[in-house]
Amino acid sequence: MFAKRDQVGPRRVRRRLKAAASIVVALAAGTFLACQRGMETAKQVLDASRGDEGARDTGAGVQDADAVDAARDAAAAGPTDASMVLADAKTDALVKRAAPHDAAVDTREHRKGMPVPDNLLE
Amino acid sequence: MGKRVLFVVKELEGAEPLGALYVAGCLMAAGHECRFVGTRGNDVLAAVRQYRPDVVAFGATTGLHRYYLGLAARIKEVLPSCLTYMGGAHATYFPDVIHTPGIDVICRGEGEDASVELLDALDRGDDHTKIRDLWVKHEGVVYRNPARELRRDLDAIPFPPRELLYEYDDALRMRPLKSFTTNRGCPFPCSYCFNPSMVEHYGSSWKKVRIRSPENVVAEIVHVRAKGPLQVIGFRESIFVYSAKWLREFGELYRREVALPYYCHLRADMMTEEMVDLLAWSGCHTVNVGIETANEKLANEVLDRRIKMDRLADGIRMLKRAGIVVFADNILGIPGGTLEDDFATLQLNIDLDVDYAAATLCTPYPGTGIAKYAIENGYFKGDFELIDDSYYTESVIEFPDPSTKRQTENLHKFFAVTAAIPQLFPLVKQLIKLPPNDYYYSMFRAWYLICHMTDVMPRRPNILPLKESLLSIFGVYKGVDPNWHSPPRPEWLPTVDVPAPSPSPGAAGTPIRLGRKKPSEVTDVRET
Repeated sequence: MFAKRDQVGPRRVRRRLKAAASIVVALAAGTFLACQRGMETAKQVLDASRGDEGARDTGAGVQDADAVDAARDAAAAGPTDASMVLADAKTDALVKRAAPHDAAVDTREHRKGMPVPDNLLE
Repeated sequence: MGKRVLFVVKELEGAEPLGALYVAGCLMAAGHECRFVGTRGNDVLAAVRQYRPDVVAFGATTGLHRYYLGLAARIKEVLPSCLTYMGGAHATYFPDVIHTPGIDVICRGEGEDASVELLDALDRGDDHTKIRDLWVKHEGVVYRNPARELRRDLDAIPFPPRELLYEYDDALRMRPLKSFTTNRGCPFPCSYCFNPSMVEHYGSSWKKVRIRSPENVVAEIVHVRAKGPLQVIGFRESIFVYSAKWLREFGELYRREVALPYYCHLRADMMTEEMVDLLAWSGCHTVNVGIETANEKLANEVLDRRIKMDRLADGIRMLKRAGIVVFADNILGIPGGTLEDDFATLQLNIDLDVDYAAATLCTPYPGTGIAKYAIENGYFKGDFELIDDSYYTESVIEFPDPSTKRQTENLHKFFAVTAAIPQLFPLVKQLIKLPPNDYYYSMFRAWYLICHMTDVMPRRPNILPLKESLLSIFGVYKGVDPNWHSPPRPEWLPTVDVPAPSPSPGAAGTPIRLGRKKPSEVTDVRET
C-alpha cells in the first residue's frame, strides 16, 4: 500500500543528495557553534583576567557543574514571599504549557538531544 | 473519592509515554484523578504546589533517573505529604534506587495493577507495604515484594488516555505521528536490552508474548484519529509481529479502517517472503531492524542475540525488495570488539543498502547482561554514575587506548551519513582521528532530521516544528527546563566489586555485588 518496489533505486539517489545537503547544513551549524563556543571561552578568559570580586560573586566563570547546581538549589531552597508569589503566578502551567521562553543556544543539549521530537533512537 | 496523581515526564515532547499512560488509564478507571506535566518550559514545583497531588509519579530510564531523583527530593520538600513513585526501566533494573532519599515507592515491571492497588490502599488508609511488584519505603523500613502474575488479556486494559497529554499541551494532539503497541514480552535474551531483567522479575512467563487482538489495536487507532490529526502510525513494541496469521487479520482490518503508513520494529532474521508481502500489503512503510554488529561472534557471544547473520541479511534484502524503508540499529564500541568490527558493521549497512543506519554507543546499563560481561572482562569499572541520559554522546566502555575511544565515538557521528554516501568511507577513516567537534555532532543531527522527516517517517511539513528542529541543529532551543536539581547525596546508585583480572579472557570472575551500605534513614529491609 505504501511500500513501493519501484522506488528503491530512485530513493537511493535521493538519499545521497539529501545526505550531501545535510553535510552542507552541518558545516554551517558547526561553524556557528564553534563561534559560539569561542565567544563563551573569550568571555570566561576576560572575566578571569579582570579578577574582580563582583564577577566571582555572581558566579561568572564557575566551571564546576555541582557548584552551579548547589547554588541553584540553595537559591530555590528557602522560598521568599516574592518567590512564592512568582510560583503561584506560574500555576497556569499545570494544564497549559507555559509561554515559550526565549530561544537560546545550548551547546550541551546539542550534543545530547535529538532534533526530531518523535525521534526513534530514544 | 479517589487520589490525585501527577505524572511528571521529561521531554514530553518526544514519543508518547505509553507506559505511564496505560497506568493512568487504569487509575482513572479505578476512580483516581490523573494529570500529566512536562518539564521543558514548565515549573514542576509550581505545578505540585498548585495541584497538591497525593502521588507524584515518574518513569525513569538509567541516566535520566538522576534528573528525577533530584526533582523528587525537591518535591518532597515542597509537599512532604505526597508520595513519590518511580517506575520504568531504571526501577526495574535497579530497585535499590528506593534507598535514595526522596523516593517512597518503586514499581518493577508493568505498573497497571500494582499502581491501582497502591492508590486504592492509600485511598482507604490501608497498609500499602505488601503490594506485589512494589518496593515500598515506609517509616524507615524498605518492604520488598515479589512479582505478580502477568496480565494475559491485554485487550482488557483501557486505552491510554492521551487526552491527559493534550490537556497539558494541545500541540501534542496536533502531532502527525502517534505511537501504539500491539504486544508485550519478548522471547529473546539480548544482553543489551531490558527484557532479560523482566524475565528475572517475572520468570519465564515474560518470554511468552502477549498479543492484543487486531480488533483492539485498530479500535484504539480509530479512537485516537477521531481526536486529532494522524499521518503516520508508530508501533513501538520490541517485535511487531510473530505470526503471519495475526498480520493477515490485522492487515485486513487496518487497510479498511485506518489505511495510513506505519512504522514497526522487527527481527529481520524472522522474515519470510509471506511475512514481508503481508507487511507491505498491510501498510508498513518503514521497519526498524537491529543489525547491531557484523561480527557474528560478538552478536551471539557478547550481545546474546542468537542470530545467524546470513538470515538477517536475507531478511533485510527481502524487506528492501518489497520497497519497505529499512531503518537499521547498530551498536558501536561493543566490549570485546574492535574498531575494525565497527568498520565492518558500517560496511554491512552499506552493502545492505539500508535507508538510515542508526548507531548508538554500547552502554552497560545496570542489570543487563552486557554490563555483567563488561565488568567481568575488564571493559567497565562498574561506575554506573558515568552513564549519561544520552547514549550517542560518549562511551563509558574502557577502550585499549584513548585514540580508539575517540575514533569510535567520532565514527558514531559519521556512521549514518557514510552509509548513505559510501564514497565518504576512506575520508571518514581519517576524519575520525581528529578531536570531537561541533561539525561532527551537527552532521549526525542534520542527517537524522532530514532522513527522518522525508524517508523514515514521511509527513506533511508543519512549519513551526520544522523550524524548531532545524534551529536545534544550530544548538538553538526554545524553552529551558528549569527543573534540574542535584540528586540527593549520598546518591544511591549501583556500585560494583570489580573482580580481579582473570588470566583467561572471558573466564568468570567473582560474583558482582550491587548496591551501597544502607543510608541512615533506612533501618530495616524486609522481604514480604
